[in-house]
Amino acid sequence: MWTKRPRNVVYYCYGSAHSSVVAAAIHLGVLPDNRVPTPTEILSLDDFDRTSTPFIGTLYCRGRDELGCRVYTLGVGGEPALVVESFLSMVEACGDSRSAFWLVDALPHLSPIAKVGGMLSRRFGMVGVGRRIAVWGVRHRYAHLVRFVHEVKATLRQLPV
Amino acid sequence: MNRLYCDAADGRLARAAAWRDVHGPEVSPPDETVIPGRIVYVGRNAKGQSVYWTTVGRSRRVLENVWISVWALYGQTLANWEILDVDETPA
Repeated sequence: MWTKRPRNVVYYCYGSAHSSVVAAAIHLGVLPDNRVPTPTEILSLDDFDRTSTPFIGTLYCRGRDELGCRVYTLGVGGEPALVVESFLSMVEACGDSRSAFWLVDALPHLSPIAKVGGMLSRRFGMVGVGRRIAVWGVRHRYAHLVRFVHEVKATLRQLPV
Repeated sequence: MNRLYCDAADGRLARAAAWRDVHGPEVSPPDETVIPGRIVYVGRNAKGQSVYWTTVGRSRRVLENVWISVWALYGQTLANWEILDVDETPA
């Protein structure tokens, strides 16, 4: 699929508030990959359960990993394929190559419980209960998220610079 | 400067408007497969603008944030792009 390592990795999900934020944090070592983080550790992430609807589509740079790749999060809303294509097309229109970016879908790696919690908090404004459920959901399936990020990083490592 | 025609439907209106802008009313756009979200380059218009068209589905506001984010990575802003929604553009 790739002939050389992309310079940028973008974890995307519906609203850039849960799965993409947690995946990027694992990728960058902000959250641990050898144990389940505490609720406080998850809630201390800058954007966890905080991005609001008007900011869906805004790209957030989270840092640079040990391979030199910039790591971003992005909310794509309800038409992910269209938004991802538009993102990469615009990169091309700006004179760069699509292969400069790897956009990775983080949403399937979030537990359904966390999705419900996120929806209660972000869509219905029930922040107190929704956020607690989202944290619980992330912790419940955290090992799965770690495996997903490890696969992304393993792919990056295999690619020549 | 760039000009981007947007179409919330199947892309036919945006493509026709972009082709008209670049080639004039006599030339019809060729049939081509529309890939949702793809930004297609048509050419330069009389003003020297690079003209593109795209489909935006129900994600127009999301895409505006996406484009602004991407432009920022390449030193561009909304000042470099004229966005025209074809359903709001007079024929």
